[in-house]
This record gives sequence, structure tokens and C-alpha cells, in this order.
Amino acid sequence: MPNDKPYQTLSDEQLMRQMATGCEWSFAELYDRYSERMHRYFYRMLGQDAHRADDFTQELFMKLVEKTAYFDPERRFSTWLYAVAGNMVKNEYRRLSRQQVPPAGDDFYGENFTEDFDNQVFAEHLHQALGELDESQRQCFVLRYQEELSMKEIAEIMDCPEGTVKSRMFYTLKKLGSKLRAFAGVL
Amino acid sequence: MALRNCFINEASMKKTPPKVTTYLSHVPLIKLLKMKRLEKIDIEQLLAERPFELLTATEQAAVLAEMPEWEYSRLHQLVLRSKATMRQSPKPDPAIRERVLEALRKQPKPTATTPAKTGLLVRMVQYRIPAWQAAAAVVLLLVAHFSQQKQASETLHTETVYVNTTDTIYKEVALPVTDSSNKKPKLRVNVKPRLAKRTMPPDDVAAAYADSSYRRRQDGFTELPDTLPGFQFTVQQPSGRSANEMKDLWQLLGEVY
Repeated sequence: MPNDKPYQTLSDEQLMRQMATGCEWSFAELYDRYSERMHRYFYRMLGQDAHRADDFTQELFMKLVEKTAYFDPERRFSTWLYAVAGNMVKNEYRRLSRQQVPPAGDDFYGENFTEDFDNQVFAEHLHQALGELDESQRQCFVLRYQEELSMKEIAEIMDCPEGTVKSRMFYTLKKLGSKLRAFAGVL
Repeated sequence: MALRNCFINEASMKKTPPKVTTYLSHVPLIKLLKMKRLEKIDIEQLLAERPFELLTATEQAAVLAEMPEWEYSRLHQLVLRSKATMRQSPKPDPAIRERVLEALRKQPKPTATTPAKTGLLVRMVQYRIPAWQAAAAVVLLLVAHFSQQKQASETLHTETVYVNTTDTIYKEVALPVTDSSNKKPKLRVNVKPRLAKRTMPPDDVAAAYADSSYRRRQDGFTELPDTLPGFQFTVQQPSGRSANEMKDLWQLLGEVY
């Protein structure tokens, strides 16, 4: 039985090479593989704003179309794409920092939660807690536990040693554990 | 529901105080000595995978060296819960796919003629070579430069060479005055006969002398021989009267000698 979608068997890097020759199907395959992941990453990194995540996802893939030649075939495509997305997020943070968005108050975590809290509440608190982390800690946490990337891949994306990522991750976990101590029973 | 089942409120946690200070007390000394090995265990990895109860004894020891059991359990739950929560996120707008595909269609497709459009100079500038080749070229240039510099310094090197030049010094020796009418040039004595021998063989001197005497006879002009260019001597005509004309003096000289 012939394979209806031969592009599905190709690696990301092979698809990028095909895409450089103007192959539309290669790009479509790459989009299908990564659009949801990248949208989720933007959504989490940019304050859980779905519309903004849409805009950033579109911009990212536009960049991919326009700057295919910038991709180094020696690198892994996924880490390269996350690195580009990470730079876009950094630029957005820089732009937002000029507008001085007020941080969430600490008293938010002082409440006593009982058995009636649900996932929605936890998600909101997690979002708040992530928002209070610094940029690199947040990126570490999202890449590790949302995107489920290895430490090595995260180090490659963040362009820093693996040991730095590990210690940063451990510190982030402790910090989040402390911030979400109200959920200690459930956590 | 599973998460709800493991709920413990903060108050109940305070009732059973965590063994922060004593969590290493039950670890045998031999295990403490193996802490170096335990450091290699990735606690973060364990946090994402298993609860404390399911860890091996070695892994538990490694965890307890870093944090108490209750903290490990809390972080383990945090990781699990965060993973589950963060997976839930909205899907991207389907229109994005069409938009980016449309953008790709509008992109000019690279053709075989495209490289020809770029100028020769641009292609030369953009031509990429491995870093080791560039480094090797620089090293070769340096080696060539220094070796050439060394050769030049060798050719310019001067040595002091001593050349023996001989100055012949003549001393005039007074001779008893005889008949001044027979005018002969005064004899000249070389005070450095050894050097004179070296510079010119005695035969040549004799020949030179003969030559000058021959020429003197020929043209009546006393001249230094050509073979002795450094010899500067002029024969002056004797002044005064001849001794033959002074008989008294002649007699006196005869008595003296």
C-alpha cells in the first residue's frame, strides 16, 4: 500500500531542506507538527492570552517562510524553532516592561483552600506564580513540564550549560512550591 | 479525583512537623560516605517520575540529603499537577495555517538561475571556508613572513675583514759627501724590510730601480718608477758650490776620514 503522505516519514531537518526549494507540502507538514506546541508555548509565556498566542504563532511561521535560509541544518529543528520563539517572547517582555505592568499581589496566596477548589483555581494560581518568576525561570519551567523537553534541549534553546539549567530548574521548583504552599495538600 | 484523595491541608501538615533537622539521622555512616555518588542522581528527574515511596533506598538517601521527605512529596505533586494543567491550552486559529501557506506561495521560488544573478564579488565575499583552513592560511603567512625576514637579515650581515696593507717607510741616511758633481740620488733604506719583501719581491724592486735609472738616462728627468706608485720622492739639485772648488774643505775632510 503506497504511503499517501510521504512527508510524514521525513525528519524535521529533511523537511526544512525540502522547504528551502519551495516545497509547500514540507512546510505544511512542519506546521502541523509544531503549530500547536508553539501556540501553547506562547500562550503560557505571554500571560495565557489566546489571541496574542495566535498572533505570535503566525509571526513565527511567517519568519520560517521568509528566513528559511537562516536555518543551520547542523542544528536540531525543534530547538532552533523554540529558540526563535524564545527570542520573540523576550522582545515582547522588553516591550511590556516599558509599559510597566503591575505585578500580582502576594496576598493572593494567603487564602485557605479546602476540598472544593478545582483545576481552574489551581491553573489560575499557577499562572500567577509563573508570572512572578523571572523570564529565564519561567522559560525553563514551561519548556520542561509543558513541552517536556530534556535538560540538554533546554540548554541548547537557552544557550547556556546544562548544569545551569538544572540548578535553575531546581530553584524554580522550590520557589513555586513555596508560592503555592496553600495547595500543599493537593500538591 | 486521585489528586483530591491525597489532599492534606496545611494545618494537618503542621501537626506532623517535617523532620527538617533530623532527616539524615537514620542514614548510616557508610551511606553518608557515599554522598559523592548520590550527587549524581538527578533529583529533578525523580520528582517528575516517582513519589518518594517508590524510590530506591539510594535514591531516597540522595533526596534526603537535599530536602525532607514532605518537601519532596510536595514538589512531586506540583510537577504532576503543573504538567496536567499546562497541557490544557486553546488550539491555534485554523486560519493561521492558510495565511502562512499563502505567504509561502507568494515567496519567489529559488531557481537554477538565481545564483547567476549574484555578482562575482558578492559570491567571493560570501564564500565560506572551514575555520581551520582560515587559521592554517594565517599560520602559513606568518611562517613565510618570518622566514623571509630571517633570510634578509642573513644577507645583510656584515663581517669585519682585516686586510694587510703595507706601508713602506724609508729613512734618509746621510752619506759622506763625495764628489757632488757626480749627482746620485740618496740611497733609501727600508726600515721594515720584511714587509717590503711581502709586498713586492726583491726582483721587482731591482727592476723598478733599473727602470727608473734607465728612464733617467733617457730623458734626464728623475722620476719615480711606475711600479712604485706610492713612492713620493723628488730629487733636488744640490745647491752651493762643489767641494772640488773648495780645496781647504777637501783637505779638512781628508784629514777627518
